[in-house]
Amino acid sequence: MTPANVDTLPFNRGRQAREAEVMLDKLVDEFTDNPAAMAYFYDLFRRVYIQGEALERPAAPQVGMTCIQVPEELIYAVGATPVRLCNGAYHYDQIGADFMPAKSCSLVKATLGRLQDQEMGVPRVGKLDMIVNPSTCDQKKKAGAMMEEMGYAVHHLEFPNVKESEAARIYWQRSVRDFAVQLQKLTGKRLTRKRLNQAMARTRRAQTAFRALHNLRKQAPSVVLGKDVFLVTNAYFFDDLERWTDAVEALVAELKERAAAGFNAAQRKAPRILFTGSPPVFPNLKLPLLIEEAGGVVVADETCSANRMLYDMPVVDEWLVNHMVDSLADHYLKPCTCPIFTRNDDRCRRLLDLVRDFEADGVVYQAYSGCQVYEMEQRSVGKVLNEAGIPMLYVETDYSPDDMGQLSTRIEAFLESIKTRKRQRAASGGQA
Amino acid sequence: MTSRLRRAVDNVDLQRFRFWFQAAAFVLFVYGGYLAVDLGNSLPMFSCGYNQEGRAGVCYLLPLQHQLSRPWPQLFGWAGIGVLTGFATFFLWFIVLNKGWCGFMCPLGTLQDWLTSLRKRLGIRYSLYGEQAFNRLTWVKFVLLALMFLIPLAIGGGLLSHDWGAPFCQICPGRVILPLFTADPLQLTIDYSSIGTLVLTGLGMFIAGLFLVGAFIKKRFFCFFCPMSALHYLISKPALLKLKKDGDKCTKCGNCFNVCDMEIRAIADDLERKDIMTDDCTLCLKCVAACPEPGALKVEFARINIFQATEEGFLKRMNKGAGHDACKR
Amino acid sequence: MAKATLSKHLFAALLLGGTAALAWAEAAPGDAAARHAPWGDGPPPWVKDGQVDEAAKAAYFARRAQADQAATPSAGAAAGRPDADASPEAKRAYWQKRAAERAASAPAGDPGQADHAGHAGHTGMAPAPAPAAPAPRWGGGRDALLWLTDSPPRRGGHAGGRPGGGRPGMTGMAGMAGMAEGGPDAMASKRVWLRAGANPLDAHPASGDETALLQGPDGKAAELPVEAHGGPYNVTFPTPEQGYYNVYLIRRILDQDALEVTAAKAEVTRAGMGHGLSREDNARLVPARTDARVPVEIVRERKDKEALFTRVSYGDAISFQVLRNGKPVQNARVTFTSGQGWSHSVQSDEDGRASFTVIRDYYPDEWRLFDKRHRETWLVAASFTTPEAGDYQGGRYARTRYTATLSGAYYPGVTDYESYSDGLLVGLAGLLFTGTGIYAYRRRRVQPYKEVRFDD
Repeated sequence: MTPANVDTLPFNRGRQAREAEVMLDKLVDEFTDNPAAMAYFYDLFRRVYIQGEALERPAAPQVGMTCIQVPEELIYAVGATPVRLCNGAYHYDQIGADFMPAKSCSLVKATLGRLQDQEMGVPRVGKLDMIVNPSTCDQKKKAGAMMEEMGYAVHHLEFPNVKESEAARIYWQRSVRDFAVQLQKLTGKRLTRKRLNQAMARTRRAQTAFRALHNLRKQAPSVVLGKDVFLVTNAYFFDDLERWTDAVEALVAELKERAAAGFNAAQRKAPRILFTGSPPVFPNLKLPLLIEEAGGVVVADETCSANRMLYDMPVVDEWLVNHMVDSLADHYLKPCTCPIFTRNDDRCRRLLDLVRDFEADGVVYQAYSGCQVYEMEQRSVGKVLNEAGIPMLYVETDYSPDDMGQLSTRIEAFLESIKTRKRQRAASGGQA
Repeated sequence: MTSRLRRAVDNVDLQRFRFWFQAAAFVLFVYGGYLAVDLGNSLPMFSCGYNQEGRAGVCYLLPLQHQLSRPWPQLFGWAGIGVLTGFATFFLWFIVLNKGWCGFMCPLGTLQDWLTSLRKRLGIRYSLYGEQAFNRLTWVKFVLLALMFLIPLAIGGGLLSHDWGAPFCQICPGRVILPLFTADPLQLTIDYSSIGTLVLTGLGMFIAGLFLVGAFIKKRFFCFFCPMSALHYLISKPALLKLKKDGDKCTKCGNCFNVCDMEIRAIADDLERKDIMTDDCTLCLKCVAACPEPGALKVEFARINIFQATEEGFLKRMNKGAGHDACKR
Repeated sequence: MAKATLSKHLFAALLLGGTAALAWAEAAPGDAAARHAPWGDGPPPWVKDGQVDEAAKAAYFARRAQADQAATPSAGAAAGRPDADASPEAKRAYWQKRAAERAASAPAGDPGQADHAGHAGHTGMAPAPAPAAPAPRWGGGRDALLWLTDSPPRRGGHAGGRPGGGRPGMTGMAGMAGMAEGGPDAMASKRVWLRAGANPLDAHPASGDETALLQGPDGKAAELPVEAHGGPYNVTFPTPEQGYYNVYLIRRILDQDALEVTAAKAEVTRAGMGHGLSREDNARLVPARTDARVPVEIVRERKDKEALFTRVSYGDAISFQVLRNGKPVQNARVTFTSGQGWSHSVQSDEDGRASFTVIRDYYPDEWRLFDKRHRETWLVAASFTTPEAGDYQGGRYARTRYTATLSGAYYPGVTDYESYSDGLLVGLAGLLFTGTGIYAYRRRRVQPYKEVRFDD
């Protein structure tokens, strides 16, 4: 990845663009009956990832975020624009491998790889005035230091690794308040009641749209496929907030019509899958893609690139800046089911709740090899799901496309076993 | 039809509903006496008996303390019947609304909510006790309740003089402040006639001053120490109005705890208990209104679900709440 | 039917009253309680230029104690009472024997006179010849001022019980206990005693046999026959309802060419049932009523917004109307006497009105002895003479002298022991204390990382 390389090849012939194109083509072309409203998102990814178009962004300072725990409302409120840096490209994963040990998380490596190319890294958002790096897992913490070495202004947002205690809550609230002070210094704009209120209203509208989409996935038969929803939530990483919300609202309207018409986006009797674990980020949507290619349908997820990022909403009792900031802090800590915390009871409960609400037949648990915390939680989550009688497929993988054939076989077998179970259960139910 | 009603109820703007409900209750209990409303003297909240002109009924703690200070032979004789009937009436009133009496009816509670809105308008942030202080202070109301029984009994037994009569009423800020609403300043005094009255009225006035600042800066400051609240909790099991939690649906997001005037942590953290009303709860139902998880929190009356958390209601209230305050700015 | 119920009530009430009297008799305290002497108008005699002269005070009390001993007829004998369960006949016999003994031992006239003479300035009544009544009356000369009161003798006058119940500042709530203070409603009753003497401080129980007239709060009239046992005259009546009960005793005595008509009246309240009264109840029960059976009577005029449980306190203006057969009497001599013997006389105006200010004459030596429920009895008497002539019990008279009396209770007012300014001061202190506390706390909390400190 030298400047010469960039000059000689047109952008869309680069490795990153080809990787994205292959994935997007599969996501679009291998399925019939894609919602018309999804065209916005397909087009967005084509332009950003394949054609390398720079995003139209306000001239305001750009603030990069490496985790969902960063209160983006504060960034909007002081007039800056947030962008999520978590990257899903195998191309950047390989570049980032220079920084991290061989067996470490693809997502962290890809993010570092993308940041290597300050100008042309995809998605292209222009110069980053600040990167906010919450101290979550070890790999991200260390990556933060490396970003500093690359020359970025990094704010290390101190994040507790226990969330139950009051001490952690207070610590985190202070950390967020400090962050707000840093942001005000960055933009020179004061954090006022009105600005924060408006910022919160904007994200609330986006979250409301997401929740509507999320709830539509409870429909049986399914009105939308999981691969499309992952694209939608991935777009939230870098898209303009209002444009994204408009597009989601249009999609929701279309899906409602589908639901009313009794439309089925998947195959008849497609096993309903709950997706959890390491976050799928475009172009690494291989696991959701494989599930849906094999005849399953991802009806819900418990990942930080989708549900965990947008589902939970803050509440404010008194609309004064102090309380709004504290409320935001609580909202980014308390419901978080990230595996970096000591206990994972909340995550298990959340999974069971999603299984119940979305009538999921099985769970697919993705762990990026090297992501220790997800790997370590596999045991306890598997146990809880097993006790509840829900089959789980644990998949340890990375961004490399090499294992797709092998994974496809495992997934087909898993889905087949679910179908068999359902048939048997239906038969025994019929007899009874 | 029922589902539409159900939806309308669940979407209610609780803040506004409560404001008007409380205002109406305040007018009823503080000025109802002028309209010859008389609901007896066993009301399970601070409809202060010292507000002689306007009260529409009397807080049960006043007659209770008077009854308990009867001479023991009487108390354990025929007067015991009076104590029991008084308590039975109190109990019957109480079980209807449970602690909803605190969150919706109590004039002193309403007054605190008004002080809170005044502070909000002035843009002053509130204070919280924090977890440690909460755990330390949560016993105070039970101690006050015990004293409220023991002191009158000691009077009846001749161990204390009658000057210590109705000890809780003497230190209750309601006695000093509520009669002021009917332009009755008679309680704003220090009574020098004996040591007992001097101590009690002095404390009463001091606490009244403390109350005004406390309630201004801390939401529902006094309810935390209220012996009525303690008494409620002890007999709340058979109450009809219940606050229920479904731990399976809870994401532990802490929204309910965040809005709780009483800083009750259990509402967010306790996943086991179905009947989630704790000793400090005032059943103001703000937690239900702040919960985005359908059915995670709900209110039942005689086991009939009358109000529950819904996503739609939550969003509606949040947008409205933000709108209200944006206008104010 | 109604009469039957009433008499049943009366019977029950008398029974109850009898036992209560006996219980009281057993519990009657010694008479050693220090009593304050009347010092007439103005401050106590030992107070000079606002300063208390301790020596003068001690001397004063020593004098008073001597006078009391000499003057109190029951000082020695009062310890005796008829047997608790004696029959009415036995009681009558007992009291007649007592009277005979006293008549034999008394040097001259009635024992009541001795004390009365010490305060001749009060009423200025002339001494009268020995009584002509067949049985000697117990206490009080026949010319001594007669009045009715609901405070029991000895314990009454001062430091008496609290027949009115309730407490200042929150009266009306005392009875909120749900049941009548004295027991179930059917048992409620009141008792009034007859006193002789113009000074409530040392007036004596008097005997008599007149039928007392009662008028209930509903205006219903009744007669309460009294058995003449020769002991202190008292009558008990049921008080089933809240309100004022007027009790009258009328005594006519022929004195040379004048007929003395004395109408003693007591206005007894029963309040404190339930929790206060509605406006309507107060409007119905509070206004004063008069009784057509009584030739002359004093009516205490009600204050503005007076309620059934409103008390008379120091500094209150209190006004009376003197009525003769329901018509105002002008130029009657009206004398108001406070519980400690201070008195003041005025002439009634054309509406028969006379007004007084209730003075404060309760000065406990120390603050901690102060009792805010301290009860004093005021007494107001009105007298006038008319040229009415006629026959009475076979004798002729050329003029009629009317005397009406009314007594009542008064207590320290809230301003005597409560301070608004101090109250506000303490409240303000609480306000400032908390306010600054919170402010300081918030200031301190602005400095981060200072929450944790270790003890060395």
